Amino acid sequence: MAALRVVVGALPGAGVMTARDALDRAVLMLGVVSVVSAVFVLVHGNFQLVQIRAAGLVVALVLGLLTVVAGWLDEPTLMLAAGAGFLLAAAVQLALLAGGSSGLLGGNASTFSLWLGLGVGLIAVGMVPRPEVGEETSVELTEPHAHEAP
Amino acid sequence: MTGTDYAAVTDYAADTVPILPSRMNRAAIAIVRVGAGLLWLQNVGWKIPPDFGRGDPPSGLYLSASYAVSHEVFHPYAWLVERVVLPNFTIFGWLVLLVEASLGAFLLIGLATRFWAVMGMAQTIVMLSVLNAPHEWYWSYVLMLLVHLALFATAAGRYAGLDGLLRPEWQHSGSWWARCLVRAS
Repeated sequence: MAALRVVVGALPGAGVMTARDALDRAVLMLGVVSVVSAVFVLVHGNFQLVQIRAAGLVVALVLGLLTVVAGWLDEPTLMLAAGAGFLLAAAVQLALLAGGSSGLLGGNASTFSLWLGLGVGLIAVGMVPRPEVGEETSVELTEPHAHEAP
Repeated sequence: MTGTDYAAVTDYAADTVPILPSRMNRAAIAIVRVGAGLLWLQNVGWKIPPDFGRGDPPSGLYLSASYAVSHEVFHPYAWLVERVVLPNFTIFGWLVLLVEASLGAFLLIGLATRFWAVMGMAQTIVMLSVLNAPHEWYWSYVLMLLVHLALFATAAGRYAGLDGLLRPEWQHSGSWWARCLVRAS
């Protein structure tokens, strides 16, 4: 895993960052996105980017918080569990839509799209082999463009 | 500086200067990518299965697709929509839903971004078929096309996206799947 070099050029404040930090921060961000999506319970009209209602609110908050915890604790198993949860919720939402209603989850195709992205993202990050803690210190993540003129 | 020196410098520069050299540029293209993802995510919301608006009167995606026939832009495409798409609209509707939902999902998280940027361009070109429909603004389609072109050109998922995080891992993997993802990112 010494070869694992992660490009984190766009992450604010990321001068030197370990691989684990970068992966955990990405997971944390995905969790925050899910929690923030709960705001759309209150938003209607043109600015309602995603339809979150009914049990969908519970999915967004519970799985979102689980994802935040997974990123915070650097726990790949939790990341994969949260990712699987989002994919399951997306599949159920799609099946409900195919049946002709939003059903218990109360979402629409945009809800399916959001949960699909979060699920795939968490599974993708959760499956990356992690460097051992002792090895981690030797894994230096450089900001590749830091030496370039702004 | 001689001409030869200049050529040498520019060759070197082409190899070493990143596409987006400043942090502000990288943040800007990340905002464009996430914004485009959110637009697709919102746009897929009105594709409602299982009939996608096929009925009397027609509505939703079916009505929108039928404009390609009633307000023809390009005759061969109008013929295709009339003879192939509308009679098999359930399949077409699901295809649109899955493609647009995936566009929203993958552009939002920045995974396989270049592939999905190409898909976004393709989907936009398909949508050009309703250019003559009432209340359509052709600039919006041109802008969509250009936004996805920019996402492709800048490999936008490498900046604050999962492509940037996972691409080095894919590059070191010998698997066929990882090689595909390197190309897609």
